[in-house]
Amino acid sequence: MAQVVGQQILRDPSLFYWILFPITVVMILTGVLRHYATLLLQSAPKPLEAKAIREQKNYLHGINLRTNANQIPLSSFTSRKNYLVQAFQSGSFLKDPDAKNKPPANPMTDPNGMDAMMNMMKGNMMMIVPQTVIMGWINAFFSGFVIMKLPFPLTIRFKSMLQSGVMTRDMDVRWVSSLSWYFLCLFGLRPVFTFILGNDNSADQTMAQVQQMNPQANTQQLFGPGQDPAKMYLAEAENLEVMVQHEFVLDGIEDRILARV
Amino acid sequence: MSLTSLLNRFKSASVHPTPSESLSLSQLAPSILNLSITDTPEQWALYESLLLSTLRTGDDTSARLVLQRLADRFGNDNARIMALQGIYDECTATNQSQLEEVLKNYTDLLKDDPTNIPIAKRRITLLHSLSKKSEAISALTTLIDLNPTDAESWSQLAQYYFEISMYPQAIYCLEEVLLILPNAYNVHARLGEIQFVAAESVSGASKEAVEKLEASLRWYLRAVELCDGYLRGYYGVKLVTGKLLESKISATNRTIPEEKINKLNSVATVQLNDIVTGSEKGKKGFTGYDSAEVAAAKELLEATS
Repeated sequence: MAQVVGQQILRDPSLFYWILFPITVVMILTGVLRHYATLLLQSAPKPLEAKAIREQKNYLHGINLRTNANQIPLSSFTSRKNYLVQAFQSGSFLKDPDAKNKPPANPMTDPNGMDAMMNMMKGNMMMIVPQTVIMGWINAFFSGFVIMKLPFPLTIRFKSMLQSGVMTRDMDVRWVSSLSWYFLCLFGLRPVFTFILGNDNSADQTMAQVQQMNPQANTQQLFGPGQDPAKMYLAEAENLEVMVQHEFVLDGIEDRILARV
Repeated sequence: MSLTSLLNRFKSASVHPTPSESLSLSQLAPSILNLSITDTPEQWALYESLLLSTLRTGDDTSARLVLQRLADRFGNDNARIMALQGIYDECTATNQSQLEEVLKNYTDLLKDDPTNIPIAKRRITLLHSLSKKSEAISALTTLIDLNPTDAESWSQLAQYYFEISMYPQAIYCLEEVLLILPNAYNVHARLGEIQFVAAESVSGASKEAVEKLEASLRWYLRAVELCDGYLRGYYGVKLVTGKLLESKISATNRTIPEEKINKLNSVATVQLNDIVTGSEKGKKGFTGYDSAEVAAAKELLEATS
């Protein structure tokens, strides 16, 4: 049997200039625009109050003591432990000792939480609005166009990815529709943005998603809204109390040094 | 010269630059100030280092210009800029009353914003240099109560306590530094030094003194374990073992057997010898030692051999 000849479709070369090229350019431009708009809309993080700093840092102090306990002699460790456990349990480091037994404040009414949420919403709007607009634009003007042919063969599974908007069952997977080109641009332009705008740009939506995943990383808030510091302090005090094993690193150091030479 | 080569000049300078080194750094001022402002973090880091160098050498006009550019970029109400401005004011103050004025300014700033850590630190150092030591210590303890995870504050407090011979407190503070930075070999060596001085302060051969000397030896050994070829650590090991081997210290009080102390002493001697000869000949791997430290090690070796 003769070799199967690939499908031939005659395309108007102006499809390239009037669809493929404009979509790409518009995607890049919106990315750049989104980056600068996000920068403009971002409000500077509010500095913490002295009491809030004290609350967070003393909590970290307890964690430090627990993780690096073996660095200091047993007597030093015990005296620190006793002090911190007592202080943690009495809640003397709390920002607001009276609120110890109250339920945690509703994050919707907490002004600090509101700030963070407002920022998140701004970010989300910056993603959603341009995407909706561009997708509507492409759907209205270019839906149903087959605009290019990939230079390599693909399996049938890619059909839904590359030919969205074109309901032709028998067409070779290598043909790419305009709507699919939009999606490819949407997810694949990150290196281009990195090249244009530098590393930590906010043009690409995948970056924003990563940031939403771990909001702890770039905020100075240790206790997120809705968490009760009093309970965290009590838990930390318990962690410290149950630490019975203590191996001072300096024990037997003479032998370690002598064994080395 | 380019930005990176200038930055490297500053990076390669020693932590405590000699006057001539400071001078050569501060003479870079025109070439740095003539560079076009690119607004990169490196450039502002360079400006900050240059500000300190020019203040050290008394080039106040350049310092003023550098500070002005920093303030133009980051604003006068930036905590870090405020602290740099404070350093400038302290350096250009000519008499006691002007310094008191700066101090009053710091206190006012802190009243407005108690979380301004750079200014709080400036105030503490200024208090200390105006020999209001107890005030400096109490201000520092307040700062530590606010943030007990700041290694810089703890080590500064240890220094202040050490200066007024409150050794147990100084040791406590350095232990706190170790809880934050468990692998800081220089802090281990510093603990050894303070224990050694504390041992000197109690009567010679008592049980307590021997205990302190042994603790000192162990801290030094840990420093050496963490950092190969650490001159200060080996110096301490040699010094303390020499002290422990002195005849007036009775063997009954020692917990480390004499033979081990002897061995440690010879290990330290060999290492110090290597470092001294290596760095005098400029051998590869032995460069970068402080020449004063090498000289001191040489002297110790000559005194004990």
